[in-house]
Amino acid sequence: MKEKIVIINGLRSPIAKSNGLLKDVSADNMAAIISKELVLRSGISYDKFDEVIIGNVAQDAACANVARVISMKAGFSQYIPAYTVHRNCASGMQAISSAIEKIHSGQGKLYLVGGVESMSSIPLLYSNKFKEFMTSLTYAKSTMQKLKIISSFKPSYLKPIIALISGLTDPISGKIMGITAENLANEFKISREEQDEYSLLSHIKAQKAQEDNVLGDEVHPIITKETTFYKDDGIRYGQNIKALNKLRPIFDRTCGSVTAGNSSQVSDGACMLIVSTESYAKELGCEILGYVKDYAYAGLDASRMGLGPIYATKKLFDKTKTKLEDIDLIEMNEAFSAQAIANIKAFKSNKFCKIAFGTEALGEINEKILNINGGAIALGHPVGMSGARIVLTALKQLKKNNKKRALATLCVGGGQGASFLLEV
Amino acid sequence: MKNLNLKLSVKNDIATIVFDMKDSKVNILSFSVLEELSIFLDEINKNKDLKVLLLKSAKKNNFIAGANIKEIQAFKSEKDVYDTLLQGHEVLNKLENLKIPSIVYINGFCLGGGLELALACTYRIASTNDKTIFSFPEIKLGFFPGLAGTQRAPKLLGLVNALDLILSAKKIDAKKALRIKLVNEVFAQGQEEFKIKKFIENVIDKKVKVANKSSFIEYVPFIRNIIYKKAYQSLEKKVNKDFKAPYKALEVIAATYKKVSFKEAIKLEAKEFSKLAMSTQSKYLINLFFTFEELNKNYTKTEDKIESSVILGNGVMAKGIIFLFSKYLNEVRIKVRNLDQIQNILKDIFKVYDYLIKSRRLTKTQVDFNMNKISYTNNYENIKSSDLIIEAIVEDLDIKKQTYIDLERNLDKNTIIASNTSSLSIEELSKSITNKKNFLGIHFFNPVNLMPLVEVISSSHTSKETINRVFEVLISTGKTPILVKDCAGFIVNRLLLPYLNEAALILEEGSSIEEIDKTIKDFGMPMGPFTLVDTVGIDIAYKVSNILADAYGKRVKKSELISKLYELKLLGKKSGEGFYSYENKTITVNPSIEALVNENRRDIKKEEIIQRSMFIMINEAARCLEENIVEDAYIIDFAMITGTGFPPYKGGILEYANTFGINNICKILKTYQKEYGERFRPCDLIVDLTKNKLDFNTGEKLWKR
Repeated sequence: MKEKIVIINGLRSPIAKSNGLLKDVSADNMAAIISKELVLRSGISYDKFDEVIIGNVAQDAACANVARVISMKAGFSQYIPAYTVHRNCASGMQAISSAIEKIHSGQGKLYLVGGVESMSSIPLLYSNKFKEFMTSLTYAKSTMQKLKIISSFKPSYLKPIIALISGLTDPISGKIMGITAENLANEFKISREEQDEYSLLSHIKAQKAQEDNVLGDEVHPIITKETTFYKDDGIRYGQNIKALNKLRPIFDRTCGSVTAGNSSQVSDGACMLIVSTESYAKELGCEILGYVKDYAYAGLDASRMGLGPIYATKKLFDKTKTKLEDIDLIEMNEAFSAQAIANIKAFKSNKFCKIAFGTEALGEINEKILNINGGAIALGHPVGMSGARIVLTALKQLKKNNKKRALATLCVGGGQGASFLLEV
Repeated sequence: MKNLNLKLSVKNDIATIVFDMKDSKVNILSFSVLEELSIFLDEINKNKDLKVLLLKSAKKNNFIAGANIKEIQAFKSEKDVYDTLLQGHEVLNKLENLKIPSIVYINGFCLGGGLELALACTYRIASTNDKTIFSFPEIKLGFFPGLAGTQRAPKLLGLVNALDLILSAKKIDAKKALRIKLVNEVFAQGQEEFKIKKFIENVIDKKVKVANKSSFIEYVPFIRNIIYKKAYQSLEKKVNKDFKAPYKALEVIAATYKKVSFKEAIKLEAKEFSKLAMSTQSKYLINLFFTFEELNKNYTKTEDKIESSVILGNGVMAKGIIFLFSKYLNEVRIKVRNLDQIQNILKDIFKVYDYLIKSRRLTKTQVDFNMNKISYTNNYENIKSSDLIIEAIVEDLDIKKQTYIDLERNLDKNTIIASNTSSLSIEELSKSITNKKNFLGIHFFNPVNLMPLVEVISSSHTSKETINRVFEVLISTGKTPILVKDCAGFIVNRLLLPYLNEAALILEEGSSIEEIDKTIKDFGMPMGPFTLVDTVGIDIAYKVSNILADAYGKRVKKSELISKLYELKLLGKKSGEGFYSYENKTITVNPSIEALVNENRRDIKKEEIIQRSMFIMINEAARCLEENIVEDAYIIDFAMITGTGFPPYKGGILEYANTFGINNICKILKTYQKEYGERFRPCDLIVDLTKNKLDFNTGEKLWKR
């Protein structure tokens, strides 16, 4: 019998708009603050942990294997190993599933996992041509050679490459993520108005949750000598449909419908969880936040990557013999309104499911249990963090609302989906 | 004679002498070691086949950690010292004039006499081990290098570098030593096997030049005089002229260097050294050195050393403790009422770190990691387990008591709770604590990172184990704790506040702020009382003196002046105005003080200023002994030297009293009592000591129970 996998507890930073209040806090420091706080609050001693596994997408060249730096800064001993995982937007989930696999294969029984992203820190890059220019200049020996190379300089060499855009461009389809959302809007016939309505709802739900402090106990403020940051700051209080309708499409400027207002925000944040087995958590005397029953990753056409959730969820449901009506709560990451709506439509479409899976529709998603406190459109989407965040939020909300079972799912750039089945 | 501490071995044409003192972790240069060395040097001189001598140490991280201080302490007369020094000189001269070149390999501490020995060798090579430290610490003990260091150092390093090392007792590392040509070559520890071999080959092949830094301009007497004058001026700024050692060192060098023959020079050096080594100043400083050593060993090693801490508070003391613990412990958690305070706390802590980065004592990465040890919360529930919690919140009995109740709800049994109160009763505070054996007072001094002294105050319930664990952790953070019994003000504040108060009372009657400050500074205190009270903060002085007045009643006469300044919110440096005003970085006497003092002012003699401010402390110190707040007089002396900067070369407040004569003090106190009131009434112990013709050194039986 496989050991029952539990999340003992979790904690996250508030999510900051990119280049905002967390711009001076590096990913490792942000994650270290949350990790340390989580471990100290749990009362579990550092030396009980087997390993630290952390998801991160835009890995900083100055901080290779950021998980190791985080673990050391968080207070773990040098003798506890750490590694970084990368599965794009599912990196935070990958950290959880890597720990679970390690537990099941008998490698250990207590892991600190999570995801972090500092999209503010993503640098501008020089072009390859400029790099070649600098390299040959360094290697040039005589003055003549140097002069010759210097004279070959062209101003265009200095045009920077925005690594953020490169990172958000799908290397397989060559399209920026927003275009994959445009694709889905067209395929599923989703209007601009429908997208804006969905987006507005995300803000309204998030505003209400923040006003009622529903998410308070999953958030720990980030305070450093540079900043004091308490609350998710992407939520637009009093957002209205008029304002959203005014925005111009940003990916397909001539005939698109995806705008900055109905896409997730570029943000900074960190989320950490403690993963263990039920028996070990009991041995440690810890209260348990919830269980990870199972998970699945699925692959699909990169240009329709937004459909990742339905592909992964189908796989997960088949594997666990779960039906949509068994689910009490859904956290589906909102990369784009169009992408979220496409999934809702696909779930209930017999036609889609027939073609994709050769089965009937998975069912109609009850929107009352979907992203009840808003999603990435309002809160932001620090890519490496989001996977861990929706697992944490789903479990905390199950507890709060006296519910049993949740689905946490997201789409992954490059054409993948990830789904986790959670219980309390 | 049997060789105990040195080993000589000869291989091919290379002789090696290894320093390896028996039954000791470190090498110390005692005169018996020099005797052994002398015998070996004779042997080497006889052996015609040898080409080079290598000297090194068998101890880890230690070449020679200086001379044997106990030997110096044991000398009976100046002549004893002088004769022994001349013998020592002979040995080092023999080393310097050896027929073959000598190379010394230095890996670890190379201090005092050890450095003088190294200077007598032809070549010095060193590892870049961070324990490889060169220094002349003699000044700190009240004398100066006495084995020709005053001669060989300037010859090798040049006058400026040598004076810098000898007069300031500063420490330099191997790389700096290479820059000033104190050593010929440095290399990483681990490479020594190959590097030493290569260096020896080069020496044999005459490929290494003998370094000589002293430049030709130093032959010009006029230039030398300018250098001496500059050195004197910078000494004057830092060191009270009463403290003889550095001034004498400068005098000796000025009288000898490039003026008289080496032989003459070392005789003068030995003569002046002998005088200093037998002086009371040196005696006091040596005692202080040993007191430090003794107190820093004053604990039993535990298996679970304190590694995690929680600090409550956001004031200057809390920040100091957070900084200290973030540097030395694994976890520092800050508990504040409002998280809005955290960013400023972190900023201030980083300021201290930033200074350490800029002075290259820590790297940016080290600081980044230390800063990351700090976590923060505003919720007692998030403090689950911690080895040590230090409360440094507002000095209010009820608030503190409630805090302990809130704290203890979530704690496990092992956690120690300490209060950093500077004046509240630990016994009283402990009443609200359930786990009383784990509660005590830990009183740091401001600025925490610079002040070595910590008063540890036990209540009647505090367990020995708790005290031991606290001593262990404090010593590991570079502090020197002393154990003090509970009383208002403990030792340092109990003595210091009456002194500050007396200065203000004197000012009310006459004299002036500058006059009083200058008199006390000339006496040897690091700053005058008004400068001090401005630095500490008038509000703090006001509150603490109220607490002391409540506790000690009649014998306290509070200065009206302090209360007036407090009411006018002239709080000292922090508010920009106190006894002085601190506008635009220039410090001037605050003109508004004059309006606050008596109009019928009189002249007050310097002598009276000193005696009133010192004797009021001596009287209070004697009461502390009477009450057994501490058992030993030397602990009070130690506390006043390390906690207030009382001039160490005067031995401490009670040694000063002994020197002045208890009988004289008692008499003067009685006249002051008539003139100025009950606060000067000599306490019973002083009266008893006078009666029995004893002092604080000889009269222990009068207070020890």
